[in-house]
Amino acid sequence: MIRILKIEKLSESNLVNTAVFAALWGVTEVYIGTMLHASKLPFRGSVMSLAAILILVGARAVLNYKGSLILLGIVTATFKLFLGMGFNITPFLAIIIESLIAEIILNRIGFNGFTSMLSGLTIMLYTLIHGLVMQAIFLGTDIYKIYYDIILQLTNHLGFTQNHVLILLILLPILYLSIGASIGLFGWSVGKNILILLEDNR
Amino acid sequence: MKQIIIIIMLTMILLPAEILIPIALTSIIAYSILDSSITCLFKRKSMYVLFMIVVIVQPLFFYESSDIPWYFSDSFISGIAMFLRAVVIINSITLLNKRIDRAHVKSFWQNKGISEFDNVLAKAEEILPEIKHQIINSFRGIKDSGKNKELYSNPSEFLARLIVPFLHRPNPIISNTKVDED
Repeated sequence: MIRILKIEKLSESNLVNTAVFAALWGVTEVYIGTMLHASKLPFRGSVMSLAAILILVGARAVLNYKGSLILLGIVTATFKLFLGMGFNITPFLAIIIESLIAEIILNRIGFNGFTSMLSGLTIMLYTLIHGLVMQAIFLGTDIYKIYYDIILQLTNHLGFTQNHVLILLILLPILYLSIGASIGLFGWSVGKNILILLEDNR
Repeated sequence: MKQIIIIIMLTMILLPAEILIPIALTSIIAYSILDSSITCLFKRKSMYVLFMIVVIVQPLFFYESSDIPWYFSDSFISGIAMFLRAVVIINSITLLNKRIDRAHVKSFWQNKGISEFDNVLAKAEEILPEIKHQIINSFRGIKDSGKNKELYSNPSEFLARLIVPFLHRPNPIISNTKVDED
């Protein structure tokens, strides 16, 4: 972690470009995040994670220095902490971890279509785990038993077999991961287009 | 004070339901005295929904013994403990959130080796209102000019066009960036 955090002195363009993507992610987190929070829509965290994947992968095309994505995440998380309304510690933690995942995959392994998909997939996997861990922290691990019993009672009532329930429980994470991978690939395409446009503008 | 709040939070996470209830109630009262604004939590509808699910519905669903009424059952006690644990942890985090100051966060990241944090944050704060304004205008522009087709036919290019005007132009690193064409 400490080695990942070591960031060299930034050039003018790296500083400005990191700030642009941080501001973009900050706007998304503070305004859209707050709007979604107020709307009480389900899967709010997942929507924000998809936006994070898009910005992190798109930003990586432009920010070509080690530690760029973790710096981007730290600045955005600080925005969320001070500009966002209400309860901000859990999104703060989520933003830092998401950027750490992207930093490890996109900056340490490499940046291409496959790693972009991989980082999208891993961030969505983290989003799933984040929800479960946070519920356990807030309500205790007993909540898992309650969820399990509720699902069992409901499915028994509807006449589903245990296999059906198992398939449903496996399908949800697969759907999550597929959407994450697709957004990762889309982010890579956005990044490529940004580079093309920058080249054209020269 | 921060340390006491963290200890209370950890106690709530680690303690079993039977012991947790009196400590949680004491903590809620102490927090309310410390900062009366945290009682706003009880005005939220979501708290009542949570209460209904974990304290009322859950024991009614899973109550098995016929010797004692449901409100004396283990699942009812654990439901109350769950609800109180959630209230104390949310209040603890809210209080911690209020006590974190900017200077502390900045020095924390600088101590971790991110010396550029301050410069990037300052620059991002400077351009944030402009970016917000531009994004809103761009989306309004599409709606007004009927350019929805452009957005749907090539959304990645559309998003790239939205971001590029803000980026630093004479960037030698950008020309060196290689994107694998796979």
